[in-house]
Amino acid sequence: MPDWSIKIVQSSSGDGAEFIPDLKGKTAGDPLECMVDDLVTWNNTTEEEHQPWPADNSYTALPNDQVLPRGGPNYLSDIIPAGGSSRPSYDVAQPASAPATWTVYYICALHPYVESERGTIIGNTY
Amino acid sequence: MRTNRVILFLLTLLLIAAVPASAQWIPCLGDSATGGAWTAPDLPTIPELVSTGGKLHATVVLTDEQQRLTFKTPPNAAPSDTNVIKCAPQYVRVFKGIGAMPPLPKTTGDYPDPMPGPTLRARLGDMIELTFLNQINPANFGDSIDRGDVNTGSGCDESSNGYPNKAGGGKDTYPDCFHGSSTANIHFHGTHTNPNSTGDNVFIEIRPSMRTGGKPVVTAASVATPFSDFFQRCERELGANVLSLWPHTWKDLPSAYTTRQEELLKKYDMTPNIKKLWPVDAAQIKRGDWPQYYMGAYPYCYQIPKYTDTVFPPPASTTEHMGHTGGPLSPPPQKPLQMGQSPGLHWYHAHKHGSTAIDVGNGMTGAFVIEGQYDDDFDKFYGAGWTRRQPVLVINQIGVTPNLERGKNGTNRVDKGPDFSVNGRLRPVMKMQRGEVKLWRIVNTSGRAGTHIMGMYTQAGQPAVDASGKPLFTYYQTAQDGVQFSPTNFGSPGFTNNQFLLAAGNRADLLVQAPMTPGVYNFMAKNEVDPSDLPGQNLVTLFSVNVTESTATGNAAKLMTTAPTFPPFLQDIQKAEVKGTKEVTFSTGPTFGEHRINHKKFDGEVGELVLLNTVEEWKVVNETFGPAISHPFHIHINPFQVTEVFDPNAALSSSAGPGTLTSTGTTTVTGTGTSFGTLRTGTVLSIPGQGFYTVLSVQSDTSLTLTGAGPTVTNSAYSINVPQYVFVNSPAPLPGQCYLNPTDPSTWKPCSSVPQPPAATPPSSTNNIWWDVFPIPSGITVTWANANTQKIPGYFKLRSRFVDYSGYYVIHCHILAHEDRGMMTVVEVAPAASPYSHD
Repeated sequence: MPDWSIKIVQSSSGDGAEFIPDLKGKTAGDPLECMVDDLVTWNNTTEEEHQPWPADNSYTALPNDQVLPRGGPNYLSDIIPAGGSSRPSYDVAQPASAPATWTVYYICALHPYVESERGTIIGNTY
Repeated sequence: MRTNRVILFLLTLLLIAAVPASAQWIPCLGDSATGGAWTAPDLPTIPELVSTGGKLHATVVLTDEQQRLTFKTPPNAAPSDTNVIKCAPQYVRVFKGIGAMPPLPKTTGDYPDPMPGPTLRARLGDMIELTFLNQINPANFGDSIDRGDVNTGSGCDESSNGYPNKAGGGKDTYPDCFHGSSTANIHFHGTHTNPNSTGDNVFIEIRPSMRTGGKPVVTAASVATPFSDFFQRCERELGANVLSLWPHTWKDLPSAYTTRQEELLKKYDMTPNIKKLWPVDAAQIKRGDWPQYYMGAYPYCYQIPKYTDTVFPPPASTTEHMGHTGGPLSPPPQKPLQMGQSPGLHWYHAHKHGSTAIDVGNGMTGAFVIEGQYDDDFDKFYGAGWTRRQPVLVINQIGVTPNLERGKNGTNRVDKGPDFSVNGRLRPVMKMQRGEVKLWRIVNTSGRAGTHIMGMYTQAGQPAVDASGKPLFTYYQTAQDGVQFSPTNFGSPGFTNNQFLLAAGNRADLLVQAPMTPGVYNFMAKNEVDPSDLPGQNLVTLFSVNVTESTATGNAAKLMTTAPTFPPFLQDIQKAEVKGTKEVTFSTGPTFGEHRINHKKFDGEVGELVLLNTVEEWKVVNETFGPAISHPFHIHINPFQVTEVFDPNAALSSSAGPGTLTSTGTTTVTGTGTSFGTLRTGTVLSIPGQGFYTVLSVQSDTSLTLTGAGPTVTNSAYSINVPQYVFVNSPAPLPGQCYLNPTDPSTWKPCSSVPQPPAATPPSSTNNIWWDVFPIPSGITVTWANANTQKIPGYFKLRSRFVDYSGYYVIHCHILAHEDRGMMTVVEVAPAASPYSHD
């Protein structure tokens, strides 16, 4: 059961940040592909706080009642301080009635309108 | 040419498109680039740090990197050689030895493969001077904190699967939960030395260095001068007195180091939302205690005591003992060294409470070979330097975050832990010549499963025997847990080609002779947390042996038959030596997943108090009543001998049952292809991963009733055990069985027909084995007339000499997730007796 890390880096354009799966050859915008119940954490290498937050497929933040309480299955992370990493770890649980492959869309809750601060996680069953 | 390139490009695109969406799997070591069969990798040699001039002066760096880890898929598949193995790049925390030789094998993919920490190699009497650097970048892992910081949650590691709540049915709370995973220390497992200060001290916590510009600020260069000063003084202090517990206080460390540490810790304490570390240290320093927290670097310095007397016990000495770490009492007159370090295969690993399971799983383990006359005698027979060329085999179950932090209700969790690796490789291949003899030095550093050694098998999965049934390989065990066997046991039939358990933490040396028939053979094992696991476990290959066409000659082709010189201090502990007794209870429950010692989770308080230089006999009890777990008991600093074992689940005989059985947690069991009609009341069914269930009555070949609630299993394999112990007198026990009265605890002990470890009988006996890890037999719940039930614990008794070094150390379960979650307590060995006397 692997663990995965997603780097939050300063955007190459200079505005905002970008999410990059921490794997060789990956670039901003690439999805992180993983298996059900893998764990995902975010490594904030920028000098600002960020908070991954689940979104719908148009990258609109899901409302609190679909995400909270903290630590629930849709909760991705607390606010991550500059230079820190995420907590809790995100368990890529298969949503009820989801197909064998599903996508988790997320944005930064603190910068929801920064288009570069978007990412996807693709979950798969065994 | 251009056309060919276009075709190649299109083919590549098609190949990419054909790969279904999945995890970021990468090719494994040995995978074929063309889709052919997997090729088992060569067994790599672990780089070594070797002592010279009487000291092991070296630098061990704890760092992190992405390695190519293996995963069985699906994860809950039972261990097997036929599972589908996939690989993924994973961040892990690992030990590296600066200047260790030989160099690491070349990386064949984009990511390096796992490798244990450098093998440490020293000799009796040597000084150990290790600069330990923690240069992990903690941001490469989920946030994992040190002191139960509650502003952002529980203080434990947390996961969106709900951990630490409902961890195995209960709730983990700080400090007995997974936490602080990038903070570390080193336990030198098997050493008999100073347990305090810069010795084998597992109470210290060394945080990763703070970083500037992405680089650690604490480096080998930044501590070189103060550590050099410290090591020189340490040599003088310990060189003058091997029993010295120097350094005693924080002031004994160089001020350049302590001042910088204070600065760094205070700087770290300015981090928002954390509990501060420096105030803890400051309070401990004020009390004269050794401080707990450090930043980035720590100097380990201690001596490996060499016993030089030719007799045991040693003649008395008048030297004064100056070793107590604090407190107002005047030290008593010092006895001379009572026991030496046993030369043998020991090991080291991460031991920071709350992160031992994940860190050891990451690979923070390594072998520690301590050489002495044992090696010299082998070298005398096999040639100079022979022992240094013998394979050191480090077993581990390498993985990442523990099961409890992922999945729900056990789904997608790894059954029995990750597969066993040896020297970081799955099923590697070792070469031997025809007839060659080697000394395999095996340590099971896994934090979870025991490795039940089953022996040598052919590639077809059959025992490797000749036409007459004689084993092709001959191996006999020459040491256990780094302590050599006595001449009585050396090469004896009971330890030749035997099947035996290497519980998590155990070691064994095997003197092995290859057959004259070339070929590839598999050294196979089963995963075992409890003996009840064995019937349902598959054989798995630990490693293979490729017996080549060339033939060994001379002594290289002879099994040494004379035991290495046996040190006098290893003679058996006599009953007359015992001055105190204790009972120590390990238990899981009442909620499954709650692990305790003496019904209490670890809180840093002293759980057992022993007077220095006394011998005690302990009854170590297991009140785990299902599912069965034989918790591997481990004690630091002093090895022990086992004098009695009571396993209430022991089988007089055991055989695989025909067919499969199904049960829904009720008393009723249904079978498919079974012949229950042949079973006698009182027979025990052993169900893999579930435990033991006693038959109350049999209705038919496919239906029976158990004495209590059964397991929840579907079409499960099982074994039929004729129990050693029965708890009802009717029907009368079979020959060899023993009746124990469930209402009379005085009968809950091994009966006379059950073989026990050799009793330590005067005048001297030297055929008992020394251990530092021993699994405690699980308990049993028995039911008899009118559905009365009684829980009967398993136990073993040990004797140990608590000699030479006073201070604080621990006992714990070596299933390390249990230790992290509370199954540990402190042993205090006090240097002085009570001031009261009525003489």
